[in-house]
Amino acid sequence: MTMPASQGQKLPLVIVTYREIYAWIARLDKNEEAMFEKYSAVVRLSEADMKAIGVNRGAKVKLSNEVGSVVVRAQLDSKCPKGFAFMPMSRIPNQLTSYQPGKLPNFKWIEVSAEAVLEDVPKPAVP
Amino acid sequence: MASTATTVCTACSCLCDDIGLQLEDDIIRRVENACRKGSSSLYGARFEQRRSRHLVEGREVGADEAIDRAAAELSRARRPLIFGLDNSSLEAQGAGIELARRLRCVIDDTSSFCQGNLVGQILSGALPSCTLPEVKTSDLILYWGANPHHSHPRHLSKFTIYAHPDYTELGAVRRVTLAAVEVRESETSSVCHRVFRILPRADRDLISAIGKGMAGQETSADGKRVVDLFRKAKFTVIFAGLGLTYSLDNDYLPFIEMVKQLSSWGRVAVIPMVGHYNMRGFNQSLHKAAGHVNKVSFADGVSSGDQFSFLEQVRNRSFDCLMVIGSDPFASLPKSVSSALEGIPRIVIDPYQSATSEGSTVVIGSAVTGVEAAGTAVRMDGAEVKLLPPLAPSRPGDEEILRRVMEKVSR
Repeated sequence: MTMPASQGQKLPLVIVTYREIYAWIARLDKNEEAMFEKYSAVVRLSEADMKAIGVNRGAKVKLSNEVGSVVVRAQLDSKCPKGFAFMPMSRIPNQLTSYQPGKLPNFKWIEVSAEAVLEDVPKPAVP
Repeated sequence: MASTATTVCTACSCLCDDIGLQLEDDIIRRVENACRKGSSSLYGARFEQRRSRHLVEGREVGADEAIDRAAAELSRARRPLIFGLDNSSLEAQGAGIELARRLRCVIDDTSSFCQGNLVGQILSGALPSCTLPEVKTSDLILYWGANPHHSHPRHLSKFTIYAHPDYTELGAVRRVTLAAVEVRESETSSVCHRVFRILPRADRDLISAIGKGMAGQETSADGKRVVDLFRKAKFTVIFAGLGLTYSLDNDYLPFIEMVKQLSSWGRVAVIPMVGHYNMRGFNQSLHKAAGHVNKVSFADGVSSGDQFSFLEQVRNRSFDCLMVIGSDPFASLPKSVSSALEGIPRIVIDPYQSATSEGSTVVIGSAVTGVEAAGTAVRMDGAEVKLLPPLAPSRPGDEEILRRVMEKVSR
């Protein structure tokens, strides 16, 4: 397997989470693990940012910041503004979110760096 | 034996009351009228692999032993904390608040990092509101930072645009404008007549631009377009979502000021797009009991403040025993926050296994309220709805559990 051309390049992004019905439904589905990966472990990126990271649709992207890191699959969102990315609310972006006293948790403004990787998308660790 | 029933869906705060069921030997065979979220919630209610069993330190026990141990943990604790209750009935919420008062402890729910402040502004009269049936008399419906197609899937068809009865003489066009303020291209924005797409965290700028436009000052193009829309409307309903809450970082003052200004042009009402089906019920119950919608301490009479928010309590490890009812903070909060809960005795009352119940000191499996247990809930607009459980309970309900714990607590 060959690595993407720009493998290793890290791109700063701001993640904004949103509610996704399938991430909610997956919690009650017998096939939770597969649904979780399909609907929750994704990041929706602009075309320009996908190019900058060097990934195509479905490729794996590692999102990291000082709080943690996750590996998810890239999806194209043609209306996503450059420099931003969207992720369904779930335990996955919560690995990257933080909280400062007197403020709300930063679910809708998570600063990360994104890079193409070949690592596996992790399975949910808990029910 | 086959039978039919009508029930109220508790998958979200729409509390749809027209859900038809076909039952066979206490099993739901067919669900009618429910959305994808509601039907999965109803079908999934009896998915035993996901349901909680009564556990004490991971060992399966009877309900009595789990309740005894929960009461013992709470009695032993010097500073317990009660959290959750947004997925419980008003009756169970009342029991939870009573327990907190008895324990002289802090009680909070997800609304402290969700829309509790917005509900509080409505309850205090700072923001005008209306009922969902009244929305059918509006001529401008604005979803602000909300995508009901995913959060409240029947919202548009049951309460807003597709339920609107007022057509033009030609009969093809409704006399109502549907608009959205959104950062994403969402399913909701794709069916709107007007969409104001803004960058994340730009809601405050848009509100400021609207204020300038209303005052006749030079403003942005979007500001002008929103003002034009508001100017034409006789009755505007704004459905405020989490996008607005988080963009304003829970500071609704500019929004309140904007609504106040708009009210001079016509009627304006705000309805919060509450997520959990009875979060507004918790806010109203606590407001009635203690004068505050959330973040309450009964340690020294009644007090409320940010220091009693669940997030601050966790950050400061201000409690030595946590009781969680029908909530999953381990899954819904930043991991950096929830990891601070490690090592603190935890009592979880929940129909389903969750990240929070995993590894808890005590787990008490409860009935699914609305499906197996009766009660009352408060819809997003403040209307009370009686829940009609179609199935016999397989476990005790939240209210019964809380009252039994309360009887055994030695304080």
